Amino acid sequence: MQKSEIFILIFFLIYLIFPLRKWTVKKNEFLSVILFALFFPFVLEPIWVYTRSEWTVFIFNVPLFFILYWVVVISFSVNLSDYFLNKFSKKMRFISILWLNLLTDIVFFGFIGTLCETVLHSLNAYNYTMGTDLGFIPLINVPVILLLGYVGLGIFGAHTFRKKKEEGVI
Amino acid sequence: MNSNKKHIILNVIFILLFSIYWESISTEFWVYNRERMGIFLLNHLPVIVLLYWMFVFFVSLFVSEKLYQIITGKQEIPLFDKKLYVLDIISFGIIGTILEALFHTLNWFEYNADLHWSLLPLINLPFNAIAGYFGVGMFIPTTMRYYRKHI
Repeated sequence: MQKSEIFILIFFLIYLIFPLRKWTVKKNEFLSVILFALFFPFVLEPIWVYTRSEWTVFIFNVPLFFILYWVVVISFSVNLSDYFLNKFSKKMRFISILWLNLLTDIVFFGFIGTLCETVLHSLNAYNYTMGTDLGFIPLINVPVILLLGYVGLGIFGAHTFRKKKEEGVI
Repeated sequence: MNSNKKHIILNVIFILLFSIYWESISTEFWVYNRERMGIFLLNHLPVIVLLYWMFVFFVSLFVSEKLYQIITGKQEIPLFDKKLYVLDIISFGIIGTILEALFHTLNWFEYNADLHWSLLPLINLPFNAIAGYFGVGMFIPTTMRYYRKHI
């Protein structure tokens, strides 16, 4: 098992217990993200060249573990964004809930996504073949486009994930 | 301001933001034909592509919302409904693919050869590009309706 796969597995276990919720809620959350996770890494497959090992199971050039990665990274970002929104919305009355939620989505999707991307890249899970047009973030060497990608996911996708979770739709 | 005007203005702002964002981060996937595309913003973003996205969104949303009203008999468009969700995916996927195929045939752009994407026979479009439009239908319309409802 590669180090990156162990990291994703640990991340998944943390996600299962934070925040601790009923199984049905977790199931809905998992379902709301799974379609994106099954679709996105394949559509943008040319960006990453994944490191191969004997153990790793691949589906059309994408390791199975990375489907789990996308489920966890999105769910975790949405949960953290909601958690901070609940915690700070009363203290920050000068800004409406709508814009505060947009801000927390941008911050947490950007932060969690870039953090995980940095860890996986440093664990040699993959190399970047594209997406380097705007350069790299200093110190962590992750392409700026990927940070923008996660932020965009927060801006344009977070509310859809929330609605799908509420309705229990994949 | 009446709700229809507000609705249209919010749609335009949202689509503009999305198209500027998407065209800025996806520059490595295709190369625009500079002779055919006319004016470029900041020497990078073709104005016609922003109008293209405007057209894709307005037509796809119109088709899916109209079909939803016909199928369910309801006049009001909800923020989220399973039937509307499926209709969004189908209409964005089909309309987006048709328009992409049309403009590719008109030689507006070429896909980056380094991508080695597999092409769908007959229309010669990469599966990834087609899947992208279905993906847009999966996520963006619900977010647009969320902001339309809450702003």
